[in-house]
Amino acid sequence: MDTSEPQNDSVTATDKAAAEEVNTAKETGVDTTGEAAGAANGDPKAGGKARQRKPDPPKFTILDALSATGLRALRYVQELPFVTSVTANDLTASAVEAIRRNAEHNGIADKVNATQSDARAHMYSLIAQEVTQEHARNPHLARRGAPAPSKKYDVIDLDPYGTAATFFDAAVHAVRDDGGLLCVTCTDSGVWASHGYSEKAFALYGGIPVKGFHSHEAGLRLILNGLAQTAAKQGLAIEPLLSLSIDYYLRIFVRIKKSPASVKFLAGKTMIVYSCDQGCGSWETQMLLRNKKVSNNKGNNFFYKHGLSMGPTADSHCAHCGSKTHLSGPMYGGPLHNREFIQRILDDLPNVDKTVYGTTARIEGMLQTAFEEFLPPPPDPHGPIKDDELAAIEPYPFYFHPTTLAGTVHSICPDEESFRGALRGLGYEVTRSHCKPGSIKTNAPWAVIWHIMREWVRQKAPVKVENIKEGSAAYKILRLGKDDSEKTDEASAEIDKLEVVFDKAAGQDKTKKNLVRYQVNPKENWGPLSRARG
Amino acid sequence: MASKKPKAASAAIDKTRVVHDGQEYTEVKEGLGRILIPVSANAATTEEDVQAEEDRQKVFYNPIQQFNRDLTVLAIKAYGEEIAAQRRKAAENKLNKKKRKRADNEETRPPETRKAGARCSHGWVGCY
Repeated sequence: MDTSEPQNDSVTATDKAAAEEVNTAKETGVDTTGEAAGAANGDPKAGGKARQRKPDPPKFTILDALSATGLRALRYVQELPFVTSVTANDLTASAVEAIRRNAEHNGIADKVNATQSDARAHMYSLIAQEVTQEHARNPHLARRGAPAPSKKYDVIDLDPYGTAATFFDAAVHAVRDDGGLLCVTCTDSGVWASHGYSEKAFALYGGIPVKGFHSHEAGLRLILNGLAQTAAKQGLAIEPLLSLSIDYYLRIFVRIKKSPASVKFLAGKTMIVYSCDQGCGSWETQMLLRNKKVSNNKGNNFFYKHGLSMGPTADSHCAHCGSKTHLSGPMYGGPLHNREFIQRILDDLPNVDKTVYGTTARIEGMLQTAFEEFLPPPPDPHGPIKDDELAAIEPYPFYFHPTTLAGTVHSICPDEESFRGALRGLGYEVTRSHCKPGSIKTNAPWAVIWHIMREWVRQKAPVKVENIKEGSAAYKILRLGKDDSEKTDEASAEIDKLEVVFDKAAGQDKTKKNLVRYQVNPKENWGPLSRARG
Repeated sequence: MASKKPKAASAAIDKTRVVHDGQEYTEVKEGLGRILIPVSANAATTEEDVQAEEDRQKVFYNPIQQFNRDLTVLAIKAYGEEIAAQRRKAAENKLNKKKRKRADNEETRPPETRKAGARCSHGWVGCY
């Protein structure tokens, strides 16, 4: 225990106070456990009347399912004072030996439980035990009394080399079903963010990836889809708290909750995407079912119906440029983050010790950007009801880069401020995605975006029309072959009348200075490095 | 535990050589965690050996993932502090309730209702 004192020196003040609380609890550990046992048995005499009883620190357990050296487990135990034990599991004997050695070296061997097992086998063993015990208690499935205390983990961290999809099922079984936390890393970006292995992406995540600038958000949505559908089979609903695309991998934090009622909303939050990946880069999305808010018979309240969706809502050719479109998904179409959760991490950041958390600047920048990704949904004519949260979808998924727009129409690229200014001038919201620097996320429809680009070409950056091939995306979008006799529908005629002003001042964002929103090269020669063998 | 004390204000990632149980290791520090990476038995003499040794050690520790680990610790903290507080409160409430009941039993209740084996409306013994 001699190492615990100097370690506490570098913890933040709040951590320290809490750590001391835990330490005090530990010192009186013998008594309190005895009391707790007595209390659990319902025996009022076991506690003793003279002593003031202090309850045990509540149990909070974490599973580091693929632990390797155990570094994560060591950090969780030492940096999170409310954690009572961490199980560090690995497949190989040498890794487990290393975990034990490292835990001892850190002086926390009592809190790190090193196990050698296949991660799935370890996680399934919890449910196997529970089911067997439950059957022994209640052989006829008649619930009597409260359920036995669960050994399921509060938090499971899946940090594999490659995909985590193979662990999803076991993990949703082994995490607490009353809001347990799953932390998932997937490093197989070649699978979820490209068109190179679409069939593999379908096998792992149940959907086809998107090709284009916004492929990383599609990757996040594919992994959430894989997780949500796996959980749904057990009546478990997922709530994404934070979904990030970082360097070469994705990191997702989701809450898991037993709620068959929420699971009903999943199909209506799962979307397919029609991508114009060979032409202008635009997209259309469609949900698999419709979570429709309808009035009840009395007409005094609303509830959700899960109705069928129409046939394809997009043409096989792009509405803007006429190129062939491709089908992607199904993928998760709900919100990627919980803003309150992000805010809570951000609020705590000024208190953390920068020498312990070397990457706080980047964490702040990325979380702030993720926090600002939120665009207000279109107004709801029916007014709010309780289930709105369950039915919430991301109203404006994905993002684009002005360069790709300019590339499509063969013009000079509009600068970010002018372009944002133009969108804001028309009354649209503009923000950015944490996934890619320079990205623009907006609630403007594609028809408006292309109108702005036409105006950009007309007002600011004329293109050499003779160089644009007939029938190309640019030809169609710039309407080079169009004579005035050709009819346009009313809606697009309305859009054509919109006056676009490239106002740089309106496009400027007044945010905190020196925010590290995007860090392009974190270190020299960075990457996943090599896979562990042995 | 036999090794030297960590420096309080050291950089977030720090590498030093330490001896643990008679074996030599490279100690890597990240956050408050310290891991030991075994050093090859044959001492590295040539530059190639040094490079090979470094490559071998990379399997154990990827510094680029520090962001992932820092973020995860802070995310679990944001998630867990609230839950731990809720559970602590629930446990205290339960305890207080029990205490109150016991106090009720011993003091406020008239003695005639505290017959041995008396049952309350739930049919339980010792519940009032």
